[in-house]
Amino acid sequence: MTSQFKAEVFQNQYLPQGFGEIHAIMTITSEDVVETSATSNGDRLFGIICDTSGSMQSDNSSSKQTTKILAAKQAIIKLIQLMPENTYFFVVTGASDAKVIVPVVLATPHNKERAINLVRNIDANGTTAISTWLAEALAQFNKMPNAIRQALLLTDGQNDKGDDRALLAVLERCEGVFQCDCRGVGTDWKVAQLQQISHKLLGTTDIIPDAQGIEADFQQILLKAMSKNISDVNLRLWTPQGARTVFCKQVSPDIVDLTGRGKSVKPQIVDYPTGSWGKGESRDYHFCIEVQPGKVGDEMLAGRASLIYTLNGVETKITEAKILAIWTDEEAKSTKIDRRVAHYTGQAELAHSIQEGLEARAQGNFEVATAKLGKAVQLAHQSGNEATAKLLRKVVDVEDANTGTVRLKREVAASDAMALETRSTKTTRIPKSNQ
Amino acid sequence: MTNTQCPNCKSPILADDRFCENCGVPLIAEGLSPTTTCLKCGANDIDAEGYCAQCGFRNAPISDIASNERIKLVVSQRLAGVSDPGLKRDRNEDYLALQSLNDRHHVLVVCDGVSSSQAPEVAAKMAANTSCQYLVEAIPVGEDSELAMKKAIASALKAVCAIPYQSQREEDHDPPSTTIVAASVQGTEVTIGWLGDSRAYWISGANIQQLTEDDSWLNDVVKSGKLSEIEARQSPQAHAISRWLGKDAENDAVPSVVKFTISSSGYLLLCSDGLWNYIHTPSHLAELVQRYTDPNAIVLSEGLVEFARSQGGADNITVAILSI
Repeated sequence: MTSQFKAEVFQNQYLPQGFGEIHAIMTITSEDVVETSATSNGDRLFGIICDTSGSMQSDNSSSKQTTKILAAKQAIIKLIQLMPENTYFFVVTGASDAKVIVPVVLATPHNKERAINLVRNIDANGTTAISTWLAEALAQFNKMPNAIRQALLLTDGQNDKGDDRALLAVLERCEGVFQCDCRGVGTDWKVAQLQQISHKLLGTTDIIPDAQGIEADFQQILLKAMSKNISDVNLRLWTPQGARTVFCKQVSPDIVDLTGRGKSVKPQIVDYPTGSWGKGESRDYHFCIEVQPGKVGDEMLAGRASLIYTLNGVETKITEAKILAIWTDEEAKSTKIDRRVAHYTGQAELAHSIQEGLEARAQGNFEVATAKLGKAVQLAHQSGNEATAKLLRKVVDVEDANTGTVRLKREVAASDAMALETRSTKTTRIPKSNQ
Repeated sequence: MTNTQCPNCKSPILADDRFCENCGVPLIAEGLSPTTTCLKCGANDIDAEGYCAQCGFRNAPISDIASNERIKLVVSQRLAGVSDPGLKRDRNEDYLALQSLNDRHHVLVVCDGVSSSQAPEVAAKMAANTSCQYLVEAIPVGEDSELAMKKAIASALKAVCAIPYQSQREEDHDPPSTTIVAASVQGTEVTIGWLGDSRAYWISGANIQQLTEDDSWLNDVVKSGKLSEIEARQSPQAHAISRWLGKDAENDAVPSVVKFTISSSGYLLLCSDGLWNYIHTPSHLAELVQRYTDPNAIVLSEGLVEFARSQGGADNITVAILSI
């Protein structure tokens, strides 16, 4: 393993007497200067999971010529064509039941040609039982437990009501076996449903409003997947006896709350999953740890965070950083808030305001919706999160971004509200010029 | 005495040594020594940086001095010195202080923190800086040089005694301690004061003179005729020092002071035992110095430090040189 990682911690270490809550932002960067040709064991396995329920047969709202299934098939064919020859892949389609269209094969020209012919014959009918699709995918991934294992799931509709419990059960089994990015095409799917899958499987959820956009989106996902060269990475946190981890969140590039995802390794040590990493990748994590307050002048190691990857049962520590607490009676020191901690606290509040605002709006509580989305506009403006500000402007008319004065738009495209909902957790970093 | 040999390198050690003076390995079983017990929670699990692996409390001063790197001081072409951690020790517990008032007046101090004591690196730094400052201020006042030397070392003692340390049980404490050798040069008159086994030499061509006499167990028994030097060197106490600067030697820290008149050109050299451990005879040191045709003090200091490192560098190595 030649990949090089760097960890930095940003925090105000100073606490006033009697206080024990420590906040720290850890930035982890895998350096791109080091050429890492080898993966964990040299193999990558990419799974394509595609909805073939009856609704996929329907026209797409804006492009009457193409059905969703046709666009999806074209996109899958394109993906197979682009697959690097040293990669393994499979294709699973699903409706009420799942079918393995192409079992795990190496992406040789011959195998690609056969796979493409099989994809061309895919037909769409039936309802939507995503649990069966994931179960088939899981069986495929289990064939190569040491490869870097990633998948892409495309659907256009809601999961069958009767499948909810089966889905939860299969997600438990899939967790840690593969990562999965989810895409919803059109506007008939449920954001929360796909997010449930992508959160559990350490992936992203996004909307593809128009079927014509499938191909470009898929290519991006493949590109990102192929850049990963180390998988099964855990963020390991040691905390002192009697301490409580209030939360552990990834806060950049998007917010992922890992608090409930931790697995206790031994007393005082918890592992949080972070999935696979590619070169040149950088993520920020926000820790909030509550420790027993010390005396003025005491210094305490409030946390030791390290990145660990496991291959064939052997753990390797990639990088490590310390979170400290020092008690002081100097108010000037203890009252300072670290800029990065403040920034990400704001970004989390931004995401939260959007979620609450959209919920209130859906329930017809326009007063709350206006207040929450107004607050979101203000926070996005102040933190320079232009991407989120732009999405917000499709849902509200902004009178004054500084004060968060907004009016709800009367007519909002369903796809715009869904885009805001899925992308509200995307954060920005502190602009460089401020540093 | 239960431990007479270091379990790692087999060199002689004292019964109450916490670390081997030769290779630096900890000698006391975990849990017995106050330094391996967390002062906050009493756990016996403290990492290399002093953090308790149980409660996280840091069992060390917050403001750690950077003590693991080579210190290089160049006052002028004539006055310079180097303090190097050596090859076997994690940190440098030696320190040096050098100052020139003008062409004729110079002060040199070398201190070697006692590694079995607490915060030895702080003790060495405090003692060197305090005594050097006192000597520099005494010169223009015209204070008697012998008296000034005694007062300088007394001020160093006071500073070392003021370093906070952890005393769990009164009878068992081991307060910060250090050796000291200081030289005040006023024209051709050199006044040397010392406590412990850091040394001063005068080297002029092939002639060499050791100006100090180690305050060591070995020196004491040989001088008193109890043992021959060869016999004494076999003893586990061969490297034990009999006097030092520290709170546990407050009444005993009376320095030896000698005066020396310079009559030719040459080098005044102060060093810690990290160098002289590798010097077999005084003429051996003179030979080493003569290898350097460059009279530049820093070149010679670095050369001697490199020599000690090439011979094993088991201890911290400090060399200070005034070229006259």
